[in-house]
Amino acid sequence: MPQLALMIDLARCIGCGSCEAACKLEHRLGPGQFRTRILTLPRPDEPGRIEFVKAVCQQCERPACMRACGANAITKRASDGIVVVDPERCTGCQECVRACPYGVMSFDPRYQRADKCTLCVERREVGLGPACAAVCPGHAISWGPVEELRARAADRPVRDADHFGLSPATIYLEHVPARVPA
Amino acid sequence: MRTPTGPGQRTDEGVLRAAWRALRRDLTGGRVETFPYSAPREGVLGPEEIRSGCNICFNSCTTRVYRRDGKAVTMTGNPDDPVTGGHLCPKSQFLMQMYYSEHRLLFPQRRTGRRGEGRFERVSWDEALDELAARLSLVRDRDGPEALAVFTGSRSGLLALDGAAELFCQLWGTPNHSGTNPFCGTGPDLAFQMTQGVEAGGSGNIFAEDDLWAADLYLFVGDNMAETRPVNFGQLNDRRLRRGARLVVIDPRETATAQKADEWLPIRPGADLALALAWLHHLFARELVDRGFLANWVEGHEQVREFVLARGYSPEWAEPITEIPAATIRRLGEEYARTPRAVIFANRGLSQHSNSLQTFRALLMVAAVTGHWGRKGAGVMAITSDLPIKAEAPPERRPATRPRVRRSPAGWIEAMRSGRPYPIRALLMTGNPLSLWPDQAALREGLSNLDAIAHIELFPSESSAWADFLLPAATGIEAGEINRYAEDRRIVWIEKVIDPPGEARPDYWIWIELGKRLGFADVLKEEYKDPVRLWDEAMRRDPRMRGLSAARLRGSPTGWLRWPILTEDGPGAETLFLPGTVYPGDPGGRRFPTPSGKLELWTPALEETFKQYGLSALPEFYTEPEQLLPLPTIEYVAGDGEEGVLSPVWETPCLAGVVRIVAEPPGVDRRHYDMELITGRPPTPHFHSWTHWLWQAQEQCADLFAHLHPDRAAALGIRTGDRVRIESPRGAIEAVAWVAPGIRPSAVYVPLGWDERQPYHPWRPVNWLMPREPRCPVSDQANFKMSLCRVSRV
Repeated sequence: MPQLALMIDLARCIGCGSCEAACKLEHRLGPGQFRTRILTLPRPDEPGRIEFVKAVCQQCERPACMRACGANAITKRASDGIVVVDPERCTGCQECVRACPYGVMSFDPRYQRADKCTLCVERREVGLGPACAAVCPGHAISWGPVEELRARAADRPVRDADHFGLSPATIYLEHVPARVPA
Repeated sequence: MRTPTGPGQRTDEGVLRAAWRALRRDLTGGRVETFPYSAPREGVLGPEEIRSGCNICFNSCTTRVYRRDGKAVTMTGNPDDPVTGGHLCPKSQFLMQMYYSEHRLLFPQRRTGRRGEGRFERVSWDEALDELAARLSLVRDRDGPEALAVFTGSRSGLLALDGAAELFCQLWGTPNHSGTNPFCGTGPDLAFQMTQGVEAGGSGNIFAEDDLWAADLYLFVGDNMAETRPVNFGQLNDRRLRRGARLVVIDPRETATAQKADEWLPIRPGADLALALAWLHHLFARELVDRGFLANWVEGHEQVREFVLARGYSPEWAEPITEIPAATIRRLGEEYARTPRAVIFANRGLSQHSNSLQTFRALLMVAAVTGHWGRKGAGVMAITSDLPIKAEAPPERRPATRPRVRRSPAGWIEAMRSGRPYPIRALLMTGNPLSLWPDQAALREGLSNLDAIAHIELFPSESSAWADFLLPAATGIEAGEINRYAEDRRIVWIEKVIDPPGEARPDYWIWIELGKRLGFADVLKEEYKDPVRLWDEAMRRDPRMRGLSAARLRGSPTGWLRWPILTEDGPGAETLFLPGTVYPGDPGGRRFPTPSGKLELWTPALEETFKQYGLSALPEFYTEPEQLLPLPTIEYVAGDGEEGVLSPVWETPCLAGVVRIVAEPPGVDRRHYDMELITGRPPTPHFHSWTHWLWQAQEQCADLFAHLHPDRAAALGIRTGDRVRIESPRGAIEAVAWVAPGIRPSAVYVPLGWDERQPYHPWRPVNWLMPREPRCPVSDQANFKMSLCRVSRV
């Protein structure tokens, strides 16, 4: 089965936070609880400029969260490659929150359990895409089987986000070089 | 999740203590500020889908609201809307928190404490309105009907501003009624009116694949579209990237829009007129003009040519004023002139200056002389905001009145303080003037003198604290109304979906009820409480609105119709002013409905108009007095508090100041004030003041911040997160420093919209620092973009 993933276009993200809002509205998340978050960071290719980076679960091939979980509550689904938390098994110890080097495992303090992006599994079941991709004003978020996504953006360089040897699935398309006048 | 990193974001999780406290309350029923947290989630979308729209900003997005058991449960964009493509920004989604917020005003209240203290008691609607009507009548009997001023902020919507509140003011007999326009866009309004004969959403272009999305060059001048109309920008930027079009952003700040640009030019604030004049100079000097278009469609270009060449407004002249190299000015001017499909977006960075009108006119001249007008993919777009939807009371029902004190409410402050040129003694206000009007100290002085103040709003703000009566408003899908202005002339019907909370009522309901107590019910009719009837029967009198009935708007699959539509079933308008077309409904059969039928850059009639104010229609350079460079500026011959002249540009009689241009302003203290303060809209999650009561907006942008360049911050010993003090000759505020590149080192940027009584992160608003005068003499536009200040660490 294919690995599903998000593809984030850094040239298109305007940092508005609509993805955060849609995620929280869709999943009824509370204060301080985020399955995704926009970071405002220095642009690596052009120091002095900033970029907006959507931090979100990377749906890693070897998820650090899964390894850290002592309760066997985290699994990577064979059907779509999505990493999910079993709320019945989760003990709320937050080892996964600390283990994720991308800092994108969320925690629901009300029910004391880990909480994370599933590419809106509930929406996909009724034929809708992830909520963040649906609203994104910048056209910066797309989703689908990872191979298809790569093919769709074959002309665009992809940022290497695998600093931790976990083989993340989320694709970040690099900025587009500035066009100079003809 | 990871630590927040953006401006105004808090770096600790204490950010939402207030929201967490609320979580201990009953989440299953009642009103909780953290809605929709933990709300029931039965299925992905609610069972009832209702087509509606967002009532916050000028992007004018259509929405779909989902309802269960009479409650809105979630909302999405409208995929059938080709302009938005179904996308939404965070603000629309935060509206879900507004409907069920525990901070809402739920019943009328009467002041029991001192003005500004914020102590109130609950009263009934009848008590509040009867008493208010009686107090207003006393003011009228003593000081005349003009002593009542009415401010209808953008939140209260166009059905109030141009409908019910307008009728109320006509029947009462006060010309002192204003929306937010003189704080936003009267400069571009008049510039388009004078140049193309009519305000029609910039140069009449539209967001469509073959028009605004099809340009090869985009020049954004003082327009941060990415953060102020994110959906419009996302759609445009997507097409731009696919087509490989260039984006150049001219702005003192590297805004989110500039972050996406191919080129960012950090111009000095208030210097855009110099840039436009230098372009004109270069284009005329090098004959880079469209001769055919000039000959057939442009009036007065010879006078402009002679003027800019004689004055020596060359790129070299403009270089020290703009701090953009002359070679860059020339190169960009040439690129623009030689790119047939080039669009200029210009907005508040230009309009919120005392040279607002002349800057816009000069920029429109650049477009006109290069033939970038009346074509798809070529034009100048600005948010202009005067729709032809004003309700009109019968003439015999309107008392004769003195002319309006000033076009801008900033010019009313003096009438409140000193009673000159005549006194304003009562104020009915919506929105949050005590955050958003300039010179807050003077405004408070003025308010202290008033005999009656009422505040119509959603949340109790600093403005509420100064009112005698608080009247709880309902808005958007609680009321039923139309959108704010859309820059490409779309009208969206915002369907009523849910009932208002408590005793809150739509703004127009409040004006009708107050009017009833003053004998206005025969004109400001009871049946206008139905927004459909108010729109159809009172507001669509102009022939250009004939085809925009509520029934058609509500049935439109896209969720909107674009005006003008001259017949009941006529097609929606598209790009205006195309070759061979007539401006819809123009009796003279003209393409551009100006007196000459051409774009008018200069005419004897325009010269006569400008002369009234002490100016010339030829755009002589001047800018703000308070800035680091000594440059020509305006000086009042007759300022606020004096009669001045009867303004020749407004439909209703209005007084205006008279000025003269002087080489260098006297008395500017550059020794004690060594930085230039810019204000403007904060990041996307906020719109003016009202989003500050929504908890999720706090997670994205909590604190009032001051953006400083790293070099300047280092010299001042300031780091991100430090509390800083910013002082101008008018007052002092504090804010949290955000140190990052992307701003001119001599400037500090502080966003608008905070106030002292907001529930999560109250801050004294930046408008304590901004001046009331000088304003643009003709448009009366206030300056929010340039003031001298000094910054220090607290």
